[in-house]
Amino acid sequence: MRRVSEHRRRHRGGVALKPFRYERAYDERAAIATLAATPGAKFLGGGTNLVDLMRLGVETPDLLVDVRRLASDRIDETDAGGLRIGAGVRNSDLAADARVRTRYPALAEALLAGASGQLRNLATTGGNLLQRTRCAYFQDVTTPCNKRDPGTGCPARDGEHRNLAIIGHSEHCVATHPSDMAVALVAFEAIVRVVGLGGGREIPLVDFHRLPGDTPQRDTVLERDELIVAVDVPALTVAVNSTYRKVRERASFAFALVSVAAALDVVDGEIRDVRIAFGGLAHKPWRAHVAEAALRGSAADTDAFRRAADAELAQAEPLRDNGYKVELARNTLVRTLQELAE
Amino acid sequence: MPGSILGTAVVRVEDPDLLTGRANFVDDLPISGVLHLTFVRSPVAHARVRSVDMADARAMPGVVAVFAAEDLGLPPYQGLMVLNPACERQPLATDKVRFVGDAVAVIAAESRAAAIDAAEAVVVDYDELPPAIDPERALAPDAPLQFEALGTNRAAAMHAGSDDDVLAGSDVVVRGRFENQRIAVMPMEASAIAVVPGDDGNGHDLTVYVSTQMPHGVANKLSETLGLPVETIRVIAPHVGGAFGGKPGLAAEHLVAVGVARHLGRPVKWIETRSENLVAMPHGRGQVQYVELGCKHDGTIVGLRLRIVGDAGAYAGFGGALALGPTRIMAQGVYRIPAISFDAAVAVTNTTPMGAFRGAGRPEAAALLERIVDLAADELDIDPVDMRRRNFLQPSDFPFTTVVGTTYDSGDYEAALNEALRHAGYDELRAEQRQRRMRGDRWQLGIGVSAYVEVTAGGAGSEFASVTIDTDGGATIRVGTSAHGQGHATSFAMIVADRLGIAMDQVRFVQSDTSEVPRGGGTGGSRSLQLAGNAVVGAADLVLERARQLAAQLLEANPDDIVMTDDGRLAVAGVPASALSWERVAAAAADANEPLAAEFDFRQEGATFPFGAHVAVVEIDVDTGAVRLLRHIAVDDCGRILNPLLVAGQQHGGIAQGVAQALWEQYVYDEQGNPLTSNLADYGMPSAAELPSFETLNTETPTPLNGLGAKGIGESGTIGSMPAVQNAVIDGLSYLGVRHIDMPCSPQRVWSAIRDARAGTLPPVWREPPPVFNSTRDTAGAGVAAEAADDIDI
Repeated sequence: MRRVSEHRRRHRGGVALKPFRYERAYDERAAIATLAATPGAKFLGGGTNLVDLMRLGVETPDLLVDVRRLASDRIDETDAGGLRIGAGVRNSDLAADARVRTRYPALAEALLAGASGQLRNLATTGGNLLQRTRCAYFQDVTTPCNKRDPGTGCPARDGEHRNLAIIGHSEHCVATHPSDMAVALVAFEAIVRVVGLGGGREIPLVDFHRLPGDTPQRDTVLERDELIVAVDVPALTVAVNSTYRKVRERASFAFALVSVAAALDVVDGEIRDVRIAFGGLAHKPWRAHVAEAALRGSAADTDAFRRAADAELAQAEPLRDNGYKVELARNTLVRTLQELAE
Repeated sequence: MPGSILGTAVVRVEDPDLLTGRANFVDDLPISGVLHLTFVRSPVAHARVRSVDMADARAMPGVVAVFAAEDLGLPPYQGLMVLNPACERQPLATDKVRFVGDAVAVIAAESRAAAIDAAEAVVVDYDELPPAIDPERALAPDAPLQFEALGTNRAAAMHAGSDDDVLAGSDVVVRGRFENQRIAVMPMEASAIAVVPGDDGNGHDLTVYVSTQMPHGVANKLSETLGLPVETIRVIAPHVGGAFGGKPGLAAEHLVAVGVARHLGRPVKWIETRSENLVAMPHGRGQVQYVELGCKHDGTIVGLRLRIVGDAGAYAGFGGALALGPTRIMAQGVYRIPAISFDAAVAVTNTTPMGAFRGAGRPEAAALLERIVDLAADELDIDPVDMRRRNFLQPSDFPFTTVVGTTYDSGDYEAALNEALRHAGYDELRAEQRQRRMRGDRWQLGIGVSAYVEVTAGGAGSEFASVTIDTDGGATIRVGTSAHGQGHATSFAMIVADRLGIAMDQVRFVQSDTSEVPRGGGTGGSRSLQLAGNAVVGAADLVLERARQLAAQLLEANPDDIVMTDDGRLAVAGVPASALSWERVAAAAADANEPLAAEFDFRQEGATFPFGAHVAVVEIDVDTGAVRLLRHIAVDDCGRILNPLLVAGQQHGGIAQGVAQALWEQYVYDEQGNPLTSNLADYGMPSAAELPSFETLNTETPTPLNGLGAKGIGESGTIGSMPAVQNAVIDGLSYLGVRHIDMPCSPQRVWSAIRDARAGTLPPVWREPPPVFNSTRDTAGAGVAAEAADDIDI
């Protein structure tokens, strides 16, 4: 008879919120220093994901450093003609911003496709990027999970994984990244600006989230002491003609099975420029470089869209029950591009 | 007399308090010194409990006590019905845990936070056992046993109907294996109870505030279980935030809460969290149905063979009995079916115990019939509407006793269907469907039809009411039903206004308190208006009779000459100046030392059988499998309508829950019995964003069984809508060769069906049922459970 291992001891029901300390940060350097010096510390933004995970017992920080007072809630023009979005900008404000709506419509649409009005009013730009997976096993502390408890195993691989990854997964983790906003930002080649003890750095968003490999506990390349301060969206002509399409089982309060952020610039029937990213397929928002390369310079017709989608999805390795996502992603991309080409 | 208020859309008198937050729910009640309870629940589906270490938890600040089973010594818990006495449930697990969420220990603490923290510190040593999760596999001979002494996971089985080959003589037999999936009840208010032990100075030793459908049921079960005189127990249900079958009397946790309160001599309360609710509150449905229908070439039904696997969950939850009861007795539905053979086998599984959800066994019957009739129509190339018309029971058939022995009171099934089709514009819809198919549209149209009959007030067919004329001339109604959103305060006040001419705003309404109402069956099984409503009629009529005598004495007239005036007073006929107010008559009664009041227990001779027809119109995105419900037309016949606003409210809510099961909701476990849908993000409950405004209509076919002519309406919307929507999705894809999709018809399933149809790889709709049915006909003793199930009223 197998003895129930230690991690399964936690009882089911009202999981105890582990006691934690709370500090409100007013100074960026001090906040970063605090985080660096306190092993169990985490930054708190809107709290719409972190607090949920604390209530589930998935996240158990000793200290919350509330950065809402110091994070910028401004959206500024950059010298290069793009936008700098403060890490503290609320999802609802970002979606409502006239510049975002006209210059980067897919970003506004992606934001509005996510969560609910109440959540978007709280959720921040920085926090949104750090959302954790919705994999049911990750959220259920009574089950093993390599992302939550490294080394315990991945029950999703052989278990319930209909909604999980078809690309870039590993034997250790098949989770997907849940953000809608990040998918649009990846398509638009956004840059994440972070500040740490050693100073600041800029990380292309496409490299910000990781594939799971054998360290699925790390969602991003962010170091522990690093704080997201802004996200830069570059000037991007093609983004004007962009859209975000999200396929999900419910019209509200549901995460994407597959989503596509795409931007298309067609001149005389020929594709001059294109940007594509998928959500719901991988451990990170999936920039479709292969499809983009296939499309640049080609005719803007359904055949080309299909070929490009097939080329991108050739690398898919669906699990037992999520093969549908390959065709769903293909159809969704084709349909999205058709709409943009019209 | 002005025209009767009955039949008019009177707005709900309950709503101002609810809408402005003045209404109190259990958690709102100020109870001084109350301790907070938290349960320690099993994280595994099946395990032997080796030890429960509570030492650390007991030492934690704010913790008053921690109890495991042996510390409380409570008797076994019994739910609404006992499906199998060998599957006894201890309110706190002793030897084994049998589902994820099974309670092992309970914390009583000064604060909720302290209780939750302490629960985390209880260390339970489990020896994990292999679980049996799927009900069909649980019935296999080699399945892990939940109750070793029982020697099987088969909690109950039965055979009913014909012993012969009911399909003999058919030209065509259609067969389908249908899953009526497990779903969560999901009331907005989860379970809640507060227990105050000790003398209340009013003859009670125990006061219980509980979110329930059946306060008297709770009192009776506590009395029975704990051996306490029922008159010493006071049970009060304050406002209840929805129940839908999930709060039918005593829950296992309630028994623990009472045990802890009595043990400590202190008030306690348990307020369930949402995630806890999703593992602890009994789930609903959960049937696998093997259905075979034999027909002539012209569509005439020859016979129906049913073999049903029921899931009882852990401890043989009473929901497992629904397959044997309501599903069986409604197996003939609205059709002439000359012969039915019915077998059912019910499994215990290592999952949350099964209970009732809106419809409780009847939607399962309607769904299987409406699916197989559509399959037959498809096979015979007959329009689904014609297929139904060719087989409907006719109005002249009533009262009608089915081949499974159920007697329907009244009905006109074709009229309801015709009304639904007329309102839907059925022919135009079919024309649009053809056009979309010819154009090869991405969004294809699906049109689903259902016709149903169901049973209401099917259990103990009696209910209590009293009407008292107060000294101010107003009236107080007391009833044994227990409204929790249905609008009884409004409808029963309408009855008193109608019978006695007392304005509704002078009518007080008392319910859900066992010290105020002597007896009652609570609210469930769509029983309340037809039983309690008619009891109110009876009591009001007795009051009027007595009032006329009193008035006759005061006016020195013959009681037969006393009439009610247009303004609600009592006068000698033709002499309006003589009119006496209710206040005056009540004063006379008080002077005579006999207050103007009457009690009435209304007993109904049999159940009533509401029916109807629904048409669902869906759009299906053949690229993604997404389904949009465009329109839903419901014609529900609940007999004579007392308040159309309340009827429509029940239709809308019921339809939403039926649509939800058809398209989105399913409670899922993995093979180890881990619940995968235990929060609102993962469990597919829809929101208003998915649902159109429903088109609700009614036909009115009164029942002869009660004076109001009323049948139940609470569950009809769910029963009619679920098969209509499922049929619509399948109808929308029938041109591809799709013949069946199990619920929920989620985008993923719909998409898979489209893909398989195009690839020519659709899975068969039928497979042979498991061998368990080889022996159901020989099972002795199973009839006991079936009889109990006949009386279900939830």
